[in-house]
Amino acid sequence: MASKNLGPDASHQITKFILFNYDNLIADYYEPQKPYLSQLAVLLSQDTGIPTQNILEILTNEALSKYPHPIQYLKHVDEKIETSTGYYFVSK
Amino acid sequence: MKKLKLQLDTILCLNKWVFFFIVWGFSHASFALDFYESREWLNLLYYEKKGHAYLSLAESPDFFVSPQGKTNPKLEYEACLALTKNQDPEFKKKFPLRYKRLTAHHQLPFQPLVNPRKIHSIVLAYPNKYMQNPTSMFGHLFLIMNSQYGFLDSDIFHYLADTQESTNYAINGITGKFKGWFLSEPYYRKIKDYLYLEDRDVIYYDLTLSEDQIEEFQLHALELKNTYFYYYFFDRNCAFFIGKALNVVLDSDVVSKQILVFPSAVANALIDHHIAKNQYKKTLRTTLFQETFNPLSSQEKKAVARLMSEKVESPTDNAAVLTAFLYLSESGINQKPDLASIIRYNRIQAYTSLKGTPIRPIFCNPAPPSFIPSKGLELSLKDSFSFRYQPILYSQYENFNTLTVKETNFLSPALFVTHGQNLKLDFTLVDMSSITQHDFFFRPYSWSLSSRFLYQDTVMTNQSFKIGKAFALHNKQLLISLIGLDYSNYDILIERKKDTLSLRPSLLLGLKTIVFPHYLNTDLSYHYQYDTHYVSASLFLKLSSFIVTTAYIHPHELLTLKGQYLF
Repeated sequence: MASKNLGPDASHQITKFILFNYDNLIADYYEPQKPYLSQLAVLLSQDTGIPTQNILEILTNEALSKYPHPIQYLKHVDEKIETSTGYYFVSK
Repeated sequence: MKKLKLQLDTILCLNKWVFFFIVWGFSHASFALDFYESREWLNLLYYEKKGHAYLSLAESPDFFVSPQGKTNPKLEYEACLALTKNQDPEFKKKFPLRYKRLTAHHQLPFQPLVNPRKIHSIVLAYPNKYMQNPTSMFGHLFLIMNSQYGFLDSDIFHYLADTQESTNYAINGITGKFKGWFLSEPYYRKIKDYLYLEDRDVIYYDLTLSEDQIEEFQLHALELKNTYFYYYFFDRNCAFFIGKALNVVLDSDVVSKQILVFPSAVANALIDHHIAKNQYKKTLRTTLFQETFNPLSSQEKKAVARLMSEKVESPTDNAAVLTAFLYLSESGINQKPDLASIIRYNRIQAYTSLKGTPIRPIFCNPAPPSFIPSKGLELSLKDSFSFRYQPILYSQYENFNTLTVKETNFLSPALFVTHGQNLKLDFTLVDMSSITQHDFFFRPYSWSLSSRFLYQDTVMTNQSFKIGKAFALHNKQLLISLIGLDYSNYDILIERKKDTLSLRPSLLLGLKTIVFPHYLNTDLSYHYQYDTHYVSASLFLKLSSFIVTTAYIHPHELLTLKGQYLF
């Protein structure tokens, strides 16, 4: 199955959210409350049609919590989402 | 005779009909015309009464359909009504609330072209004063269009002045030289400025708006994109325009034209009208940092400093060190971007070591809203009796239990009565203090500024500025050290005239102690000013909105008793 781009508006919105909130997204991996990861899941769910809970399970993968640079983290989230759902938001 | 009577009866009967038609016609005509003078219409277009005429505060011609719309509510109403009757698509998109109100009022078919995003509620946010920036000296006010997924999925709506290309903020802000616009932007962007860059207290209030009022507010927000308003620092500021925008959908006005309109006053008005119901906020990150950092040993403090400046593989520091580092680090990333990659690396290490301990501040449980005091009345007794009114006062005693001193007092008149002497008149132009605990990373300065003018047989003045640092001792005391200059012929410590007006150095060493948090503080200070050494000991007792102060000043052996009421 060919991968599908989420479109310029959604991609821009998701990229902006990740880069702006990187520190809180990383904190979400370690803290009981996960408001930023949940919101990222909402944004991705809106544009892929995949249920929020399924997206959240992909995002909470422990490997993603180890990237100390926002750009690295962004790229790995994009890869993870693409591998799992066939959608991507960072231009190839 | 009969014929005459018949003619008279006919005339009377006709007159009755004519009278009936006149009354009917008049009542219907006035019913239709009255709408342009109604509160609903005048608020919707930001009209203010000027003598017998009206003038809208909206400045852009795009906000009006009629060329005379800015000054003539009736012509604007008639032009809008014509477009509503024609179901004009451009009008319906550009002014969706005007279209809705006019169709409802005239029972016309309602065929909207704008359907705003469904939101759950509207929340008012009041970021408290930020002393480092004059534009934020009295705080800000904005609305959160709260989505069903919460604040992070929501936009904020606020009024901002465009001050970017100005070098003279004070003059332009007071004289209305700045244009201001209503803007929408993601909540997460704005709140980051407040929480991580400035670490400001933000109070949130749930607004009790009906679904219809919420939708109407969203429609009106779209209309406001078509105009700008001139910004005035004291009366037509963010708080005034947010209040005016809320007036449009509320049953009664929460803000009207006044000499001074501050964010706290609008928040108080919403509480007073029972529109703001729940109040909640997060504990400040600075407070949490100080609570964890201040009790650390010097070795542990050095460990926090190391984590802020060099990469540490698998830190073995204890939980208190790592927690203090995590509180400090988010502000550190934003304020020292050159250290960001090191700090971010260490944050992951610290979080891994802490294994799921909650660190970030969370919202406190909602509580009934409480009024924000912004005025004061002060009675003082020493060798004279004085009465002071403080019309713009953000008192340090709001936060009685914190190791900071933040006070703003503007335009405050006072009267001194001394036995056997003429009355002494006093006017404080400004009296501000921003005393903040020093830390190794941000190294903030503390400062105080005062400008007073007095008259008793002759004119007296005191102009002073001090700057320095403050240090926390065991999380209970604040050691304050400030140096500065006084240009004065009036001694504000003992409230007496000096012989000459001159520029002199000054020094303050003070020790503020929190004895009983929320109730009792003490202060022991050494002052060098007006070429004189003073030692003062003060005791502050807070009982609800009353603060009682007693002070003893050596060498004048002067005992002062002061009562202040904040409201």
